[in-house]
Amino acid sequence: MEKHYLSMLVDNKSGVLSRISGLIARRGYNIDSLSVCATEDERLSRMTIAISCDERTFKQIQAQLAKQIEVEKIVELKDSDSVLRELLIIKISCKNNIIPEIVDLTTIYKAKTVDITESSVILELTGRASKLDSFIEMLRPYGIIVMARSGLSALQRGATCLKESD
Amino acid sequence: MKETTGAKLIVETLASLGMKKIFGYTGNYILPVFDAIKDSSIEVFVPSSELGGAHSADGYARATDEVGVVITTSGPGATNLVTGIATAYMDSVPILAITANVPRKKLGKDSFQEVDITGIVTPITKYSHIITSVDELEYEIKKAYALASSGRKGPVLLDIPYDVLNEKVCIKNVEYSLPKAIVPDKNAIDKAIALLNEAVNPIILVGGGAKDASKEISLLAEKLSCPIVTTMRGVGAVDSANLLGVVGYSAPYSNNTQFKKADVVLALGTRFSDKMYAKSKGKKYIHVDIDLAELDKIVETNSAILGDVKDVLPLLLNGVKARNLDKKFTRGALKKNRLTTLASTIAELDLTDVIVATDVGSHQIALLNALGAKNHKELLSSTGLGTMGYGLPASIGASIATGKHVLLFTSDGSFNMNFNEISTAVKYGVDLTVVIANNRSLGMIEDIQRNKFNARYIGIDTPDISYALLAKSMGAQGARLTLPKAQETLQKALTERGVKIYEVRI
Ligand SMILES: Cc1ncc(C[n+]2csc(CCOP(=O)(O)OP(=O)(O)O)c2C)c(N)n1
Repeated sequence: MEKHYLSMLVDNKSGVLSRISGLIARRGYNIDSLSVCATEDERLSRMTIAISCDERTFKQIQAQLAKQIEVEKIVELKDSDSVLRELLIIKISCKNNIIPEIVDLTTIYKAKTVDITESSVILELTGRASKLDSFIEMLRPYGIIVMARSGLSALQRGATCLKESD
Repeated sequence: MKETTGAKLIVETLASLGMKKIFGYTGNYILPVFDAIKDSSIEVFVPSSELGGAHSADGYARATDEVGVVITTSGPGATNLVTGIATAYMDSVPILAITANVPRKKLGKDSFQEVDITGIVTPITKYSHIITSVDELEYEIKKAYALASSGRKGPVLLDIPYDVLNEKVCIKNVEYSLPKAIVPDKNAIDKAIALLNEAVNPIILVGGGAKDASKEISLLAEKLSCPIVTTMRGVGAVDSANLLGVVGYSAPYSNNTQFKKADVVLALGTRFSDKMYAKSKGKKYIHVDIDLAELDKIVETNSAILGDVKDVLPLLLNGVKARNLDKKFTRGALKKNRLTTLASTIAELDLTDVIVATDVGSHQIALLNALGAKNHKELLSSTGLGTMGYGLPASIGASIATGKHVLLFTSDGSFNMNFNEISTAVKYGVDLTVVIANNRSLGMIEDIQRNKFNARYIGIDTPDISYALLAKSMGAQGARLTLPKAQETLQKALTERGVKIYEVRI
């Protein structure tokens, strides 16, 4: 199953998130992530959806979403022509003696240390989902206490961009 | 710019959109709108329940192709609409529901008769929106109206807090502009033409989205010398000698056999409901639909054409080669029994200028299969949701909309659900002939229990009601008919005024 990404501009109104998420749930689409954020235009929000499915299902999801009145624009983002990023915040147990190992990992992955106590450390990493996945795997042996991922945010590269006026 | 109130603005905007007749049921929070109607050109028709109002708005819309409007108060008034809205949604019928809600400062506090109706109806509307400022009211009404009646039609709902109805506002005569009409893709059309020209046994499958293209469909079928079949929703859409009838689970065997034999299916305005679609290998599909999300949803197509059937068919007609085969088309029929005999009797009446309606169950299947190769564009039947009790209020709406006589074929189970609307029909002087095929049972369910549950019957008996007395108690006429007498009595009834309710024991 392939990974697909959709970027949508939707009306920034109450009920829109629930219409979109309800549609996805009702039709049984299994999405990897959905993120919603503000845009430079206060009338619109941006939704980014990551889905693993076959091509035909993907076309169906795209068509179902596109026909919602509140969806002003929708484009498929390709890995090759987009910047796809996710944020991870992860807390692991960390005794003093392993700090050097953690620092090494943080350096390799270009992660940041945002909080540290006697028994735990919180790290922050931004990047592609696969990079986050591998960072998590590397940290797993130390004991993950909690973690939070933002879901995918994405923009097209270059001059093209998803704006209402396009 | 004229200053007015939110409530008056609603009424004036509806009037400016051409609405003359709407359906509505009153209650505390919608009162400002009812009050504004008093001084307007709009007439409000009051059903026995909001559900009746919603179905009437649906019947109004199916009979006229215009938007049916229903207004209700908050809370239970709004929730009573739900089945009616879902019925319209499943059959792509344009209705505009306007509900009142509690004042804005009480929203979200579980106030008396507060309900999140826009949330409740989200999955069964094209658009639902709660007004948060009186300034967006005019635009939102025009937007909702336009959305309901364009593209793939469907229900929309606007919820308006009570204080917004009383607020001062200026009418700005704003416009809502619709997206551009779709231009069918030339490549897909060419591909479809090639497929049809290579076909050995082509067949045309007609759905509800093809109701405006009766002439083009029959011309195309003649040119291709091919049969036409319809979905349940497509019944009445075409008038053609090539029409076999319905296909699917409730269709005659011979129609399904013909469908199976086809190598190329030209599917027009259908969503391939699970009731009709029997997957058969080795077929090629050309699918024309106005809703992109329907293309390739159920069947994989060889040519998917996004567009209005009415616009696409002339292009296909131009391109296909005439086959001039000397073929005869035999309409399929269901097994003969008392119910199908009564249905045929009704289908064979002179129904010129009469709108036909059904309820839901075996009688519906019988009539939809029996209706001849005649155009019944305004046919009222809940095929997508299969809503029992739809028939009577929908008939009232259709008759109020058109002034035409409506013939409703129902059965006791369905009729018992909403017979409180007989009094509505009488009150508004509609011309309505009701035939109740009374089998003292929920017939369709009885059949299922017989076949799938070893004849272990439960929950299917219906009460013994004297429908003649019931009719009389509400000011209508009523009588029991025998099957042999039905033809003569019913034909006469269709030329007479008023509400007549006939019970035929099946
Ligand atoms: C509101 C509603 N409730 C339940 C059903 C399930 N159902 C489908 S057909 C049917 C029986 C219909 O009985 P009746 O109206 O007497 O028609 P008949 O089948 O006897 O012709 C039932 C209960 C339904 N379609 N709609």
